[in-house]
Amino acid sequence: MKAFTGLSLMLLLGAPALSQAAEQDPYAVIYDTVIQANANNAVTYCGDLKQALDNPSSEQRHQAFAQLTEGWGRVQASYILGAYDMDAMDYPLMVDYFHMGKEDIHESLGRIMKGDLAASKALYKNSYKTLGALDDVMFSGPWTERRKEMAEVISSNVCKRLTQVRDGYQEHRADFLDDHDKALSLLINAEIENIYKTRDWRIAQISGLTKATLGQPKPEHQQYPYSKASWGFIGAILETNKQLLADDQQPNVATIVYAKHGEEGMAAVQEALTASWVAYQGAPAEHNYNTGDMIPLFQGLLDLQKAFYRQLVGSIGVTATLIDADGD
Amino acid sequence: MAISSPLEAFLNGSERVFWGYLLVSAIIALVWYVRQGNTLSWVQLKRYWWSLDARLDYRYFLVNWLIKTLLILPVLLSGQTVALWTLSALNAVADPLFLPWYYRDIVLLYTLSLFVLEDLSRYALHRWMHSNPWLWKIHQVHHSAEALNPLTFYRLHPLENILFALRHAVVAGMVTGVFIFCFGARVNLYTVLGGNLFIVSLFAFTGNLRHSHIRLGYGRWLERVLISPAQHQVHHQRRHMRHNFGSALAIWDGLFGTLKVSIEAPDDRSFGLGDGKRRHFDSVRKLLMQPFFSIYSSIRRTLK
Repeated sequence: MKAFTGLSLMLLLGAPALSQAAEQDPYAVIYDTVIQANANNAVTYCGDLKQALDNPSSEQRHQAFAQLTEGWGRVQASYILGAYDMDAMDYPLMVDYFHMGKEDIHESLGRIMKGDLAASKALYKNSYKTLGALDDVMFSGPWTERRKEMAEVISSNVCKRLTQVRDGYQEHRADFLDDHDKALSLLINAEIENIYKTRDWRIAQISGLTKATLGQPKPEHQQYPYSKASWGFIGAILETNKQLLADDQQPNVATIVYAKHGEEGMAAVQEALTASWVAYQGAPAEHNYNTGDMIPLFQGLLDLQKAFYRQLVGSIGVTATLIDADGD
Repeated sequence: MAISSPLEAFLNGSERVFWGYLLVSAIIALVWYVRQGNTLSWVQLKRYWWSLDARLDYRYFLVNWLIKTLLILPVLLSGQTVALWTLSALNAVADPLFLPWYYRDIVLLYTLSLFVLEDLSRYALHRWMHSNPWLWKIHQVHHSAEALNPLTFYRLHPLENILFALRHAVVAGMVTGVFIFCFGARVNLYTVLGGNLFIVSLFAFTGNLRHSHIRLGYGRWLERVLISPAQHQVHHQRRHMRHNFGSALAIWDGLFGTLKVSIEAPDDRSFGLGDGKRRHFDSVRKLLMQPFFSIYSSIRRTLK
């Protein structure tokens, strides 16, 4: 009985600590405060934008659009829903068609704008109903009723897809928490993929830092050329990576990696991320993707990608998992 | 292989002599032995486990572990380095693919690819160790055993350890690099007891019988797919050393004309090198030094 009482007391005293530990599970924290929270915010920002379309202030509309694209950037930086729901693999393409297809969307939207077919029918293609198209419709010329009508159709589509993303995450929380190896792989993959795309698609190709475009910036090819919200999108990608990796934002991926004794690799990743962030913030306000101004950020992201790969390859442990590396 | 003490080889599921595999092998051996109409006695057990070759294998296992840990592992090329080289080379010529496959499919393919390509490369290097006269002088150390026990697996000259470790680094590193290039970070292994799923399920539990006198065959049909313990014992017979180079899969021997099913070879236990050559390999010192003497003698003969 004495032992029982002692045990009960220990359990009673231990309960709050256990509950706190459960809450601090890094996978649960990442899911709730990064993945799900960012998806929730994106839906809210999309609603804000729809309301802002009625606002006569172009500044308010611009602010709402920039907020939405940054919100979407945060969702995309850690987008893993496609691994749990096959349909969700395509949701990002239905929200943002950047770097896809060869059609001149600006020209196509211009034709639709001049026509009198109802926007809901004229905007029949998926690529006409994404954030890139919304950027064009809202900011490539003077605000008109026709542009507003088209923006309403496009934003409804974007909001619908973002809602699907938010609901999908709500549905698959348990799946994420059930398989930690898979969850970590998906997260790191999303980070690597978006770091690569940011470096190559959003920086190098725009600022003349690829072999094909060397020294010839093409700011008109940026993700949102009319609103200039592309720069904010890049910042959102970096900020989400900081949420996932920075020591001062633990519990996060760093917490998980430390538990797996990957301190050295994580330090390299964090260092490169910090350098990228400093380069991002240090870029001149009117850089307009000048080649020279973009080199520090480009290099930072390149280092980040390499550090990620080193960390990743180290964590797979290819040398330790096979029986008989020796002969016979 | 990265082990921090010789004892760990028996505790780690990614090692051939993991206690679980040894236990299963012992049970299989006991059932097989009794079903052959034999009875087990203490004297027989002592004669087998305390034979000259067995005692030499125990001593050599410890010395070889020390050499691998202190001299070879610290300077060896790692699979991780090769993976990064492969990835950098692929990234230099093409953009990463980030193929949207399901995680489970990627992991299954990665596990299978490593198993198959590791096995193929082991076959190729093992065959080369026999066909190349210089490498054969090194590999003779392993074939010098006239009585086989599970630790004979570790009777390898350090130079052979280096070659097999480099082979492993190159194959595992390249496969990993290619997979990361194709699928990003979603690369992982399906493991059982810490070992590759396919190796553990197809090979590990009977692996320790390969170096034993338990002639467990899989039958004519299955021995064309998987190498049985009996087939590896056939490989250790003097007249069949040019057969059955495979580790887990027999398909490589089948494809390249070196297969010998166990039923076609007599069970005469004619292991070792014959012609009294055992005297060149009957101590730890000789196991380590004989290949160097042999290579030196060959060079002198060639130069004369």
